[in-house]
Amino acid sequence: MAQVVAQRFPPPQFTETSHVLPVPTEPAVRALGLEDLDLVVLIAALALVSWLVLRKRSRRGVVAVGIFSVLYFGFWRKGCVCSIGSIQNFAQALSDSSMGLPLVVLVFGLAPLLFALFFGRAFCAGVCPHGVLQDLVLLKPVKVPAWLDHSLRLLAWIYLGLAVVFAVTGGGYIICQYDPFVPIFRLSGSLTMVLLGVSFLLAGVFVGRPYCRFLCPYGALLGVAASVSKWRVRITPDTCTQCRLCEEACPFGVINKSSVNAPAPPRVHDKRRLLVLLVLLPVLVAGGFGLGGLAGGALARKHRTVNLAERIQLEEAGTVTGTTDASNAFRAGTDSVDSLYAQARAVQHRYSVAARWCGAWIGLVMGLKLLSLAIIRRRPDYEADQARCLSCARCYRSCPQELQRLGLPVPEPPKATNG
Amino acid sequence: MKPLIPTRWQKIPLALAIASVVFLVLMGGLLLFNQAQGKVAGLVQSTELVRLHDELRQRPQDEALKQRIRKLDLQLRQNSFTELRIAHNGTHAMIFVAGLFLASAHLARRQRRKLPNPLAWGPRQPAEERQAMLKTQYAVAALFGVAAAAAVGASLHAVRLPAPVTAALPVAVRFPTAAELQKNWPAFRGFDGSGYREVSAIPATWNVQSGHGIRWKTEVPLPGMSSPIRWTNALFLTGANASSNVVYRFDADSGTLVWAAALRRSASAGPEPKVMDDTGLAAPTPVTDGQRVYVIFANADVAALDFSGKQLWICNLGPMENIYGHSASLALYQDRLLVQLDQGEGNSKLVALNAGNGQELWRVPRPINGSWASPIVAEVAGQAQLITCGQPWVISYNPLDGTERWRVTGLDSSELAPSPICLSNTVIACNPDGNALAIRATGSGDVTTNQIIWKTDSGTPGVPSPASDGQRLYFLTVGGQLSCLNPATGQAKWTHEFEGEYYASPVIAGNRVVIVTRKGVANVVENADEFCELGKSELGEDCNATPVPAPQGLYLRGGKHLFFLSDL
Repeated sequence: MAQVVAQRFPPPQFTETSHVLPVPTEPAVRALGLEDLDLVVLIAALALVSWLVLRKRSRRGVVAVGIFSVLYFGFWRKGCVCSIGSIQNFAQALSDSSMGLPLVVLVFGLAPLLFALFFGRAFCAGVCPHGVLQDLVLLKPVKVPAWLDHSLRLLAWIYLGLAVVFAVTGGGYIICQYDPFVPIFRLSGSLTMVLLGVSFLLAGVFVGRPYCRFLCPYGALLGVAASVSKWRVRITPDTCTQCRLCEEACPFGVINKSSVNAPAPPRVHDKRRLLVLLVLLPVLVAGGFGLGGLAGGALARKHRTVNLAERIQLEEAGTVTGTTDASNAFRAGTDSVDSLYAQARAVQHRYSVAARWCGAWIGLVMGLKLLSLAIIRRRPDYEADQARCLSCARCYRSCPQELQRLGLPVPEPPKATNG
Repeated sequence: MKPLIPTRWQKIPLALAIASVVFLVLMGGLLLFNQAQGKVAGLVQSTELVRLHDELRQRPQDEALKQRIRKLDLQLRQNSFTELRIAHNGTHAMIFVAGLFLASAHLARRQRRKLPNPLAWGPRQPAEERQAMLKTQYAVAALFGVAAAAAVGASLHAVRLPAPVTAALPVAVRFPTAAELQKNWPAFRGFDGSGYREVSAIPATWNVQSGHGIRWKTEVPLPGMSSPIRWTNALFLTGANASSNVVYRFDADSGTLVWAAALRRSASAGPEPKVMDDTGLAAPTPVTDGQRVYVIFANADVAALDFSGKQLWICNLGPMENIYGHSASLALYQDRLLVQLDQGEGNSKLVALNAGNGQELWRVPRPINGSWASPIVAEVAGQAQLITCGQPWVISYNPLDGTERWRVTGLDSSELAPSPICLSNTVIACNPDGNALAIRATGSGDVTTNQIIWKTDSGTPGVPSPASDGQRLYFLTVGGQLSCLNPATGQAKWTHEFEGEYYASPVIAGNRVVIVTRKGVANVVENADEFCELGKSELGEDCNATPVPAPQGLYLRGGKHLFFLSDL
């Protein structure tokens, strides 16, 4: 905020004084050596957190690495390059082969995914500064109802689709533009974004990691990778005794309850429901495709060419008075208005196509979610959901077996509650 | 077990946390208040200062006013920087106190943590998970509904731009049919840019001195590298010097100069660009739709003339910054006159003009360095494609609106002159001194990895464009190596080395192939799977223009004359 104002200060108006105006300077490109250091720190942090979560089972260790990550990747590195934003670099590089993909972006994009494939979401647990910052402010967790939690998590997939649309169509990197935590790490930014970041942190005092769970597109991808990971968080180090002490231990609501003490209901309609949802899947995809086409025109507003064309059109029609810097610059150039409109129409077409596929993607995600919800799984133990578990290691000490293993006092187990 | 009731010492973290919150609220409130009051941005937003500056413009000699402005400027500046310092220090203090708050709050919470009591939760209910999942399904369906409503709502906020101008053509104008285009030679290297005419009787040899094989020979007043185009009995040609851009119409049967039309310069034309002698001022070949002839010159003047020589419109697409001079010929699709202007990185574009009035219909920037290749329009799988070459891309566009259909990278040469050709659904693009690529033209997006049918580095042309009748593909290098390839596989059928330097592209006239050196030595070989030389003749003057086969002979532009070669 302060920085923005400082940059906009006009130079003094009078030249007869001896004041010498400072020469504008470009910020130095981040030294390559530091970039290499970033990569080493990233890999080391991922490995350390994986070891702390899966082998050492140490919440304190995870918190310690997390605080380091907030300081290093957040406040020192100013939150950029980050793995979350790298999705857009990948999308743009894949859609436009003239775009390069720097090594640092490549590694920041792929390394957490590779670790998730084997060790779960170690990145979310203690390496991502965004996630750890929210984790640190979580003081009074309230339980988000399952129906709301599952639905809100789909927003991350929608956000992912939109981010790809804007990245491949030249509309910008919206994940970075609307990153609520980067202004905090940089101690600078627009008032709106600062307030948004503070709001997320205030909400995070009661709702565990709201951005990670409900908006983070990279977290959604990590969840998919972690769902097939070979090594995963196990609440109990031994045999689950069905004591239920861990049932409410997770502030993120990702502990799946055991089916042992929950009698199975009659499942007469389940197969029919599954069949209906299977038929519904292509309908949702097709519907999303069509709806995306409708939204494409509005999304294209974000592109500067369309934006400028609209402004020029309004000025030409006399709908608005005055001019903007952009419209003045355009009129000072050699391009004709018809040419601008033609370019804007071409951009709108690109958006329309991309938005259709984004709509189909959203339909697919929702259809698959409905299908997955229709399948009731039987579980012998209380266990963390592999895809959604953030590997924070909070649940370990809720298990009496774990306390026993550590030689800590074990609370008296509750009596059987099946009813 | 630790006691749940905190001792006096254990109350310290709670007290610290409360004190931190109070500080954070007060400091945050102060910073927000300052921001809302505009104190930080006072200098930028001061209306008083703007008003005084306006007054100063009216009374520039008013020293008192100047002093007042100086004083106000200084005051605002000092206020702003003071507020900036407060904001800076306050933010840092807030970060520190926030850390203190988190540490103390976690400690206080840890002291008050209660053990969970599953007994109080009651027994697990039958089917509770299933009911929760059903509820979630409804919530997901509702979310889809919200997203759908948002999409419909968003559609109401799309920017609606004026429809493109498409109806500017006079009623009398109609587009030529495919048969008409094939019958004539309306553009550079024919209607489809392949350099092939199925029915053509060209002589194997001729003699300028004796007149053998020369039906007529007419002087062309101004020089140019452009090739002739033909529509029935009208033969059009361009020529230029530093002061004039001229279009010529010759009678195709007799060689008589019917008219010469010097263009009235476009009002927006800049000074004559500097060009290399090898390119000249009239290198691009005109194009015609049978009713008008369209031309472009090195200074970027684009014009249309009717068949009587009347200039209908002219516009300028400059300035031209191509290092050798502009040489890309025009292409035409329906009412779109298509101009490829590859002037260098950041300055390359494709422009479509309304053929009826010269108004710009669309313009797309091209990620291309300078190039000298001409675009072609081809019909692939029922779709019109405008195919272009330039370093490093072969890009296909929709000629109607300029949207990109597909692209392939791989043209590495910075001096790209050969134009592409399209055979059925295969595009052949040549990379001077590198690979020639055969590309399946039915893809979309970047198809570099999946639509290249074959590559070859054998005899790839440097300046002349390839030619093909669909059965055989001919490459001619600047150094005179003529290669005949199988267009389906890229395998060479035969290769022959001729002497001389070649800029003009080879053409196929029925069962004969003609190539001409820059010094005007022409070789005619048989269009066959085995090499067979049929004749060699001299024009007696330089030649850089691509020949034009006609049913009864061959039109050839020399340095000074236009020839019609025929022994019929």
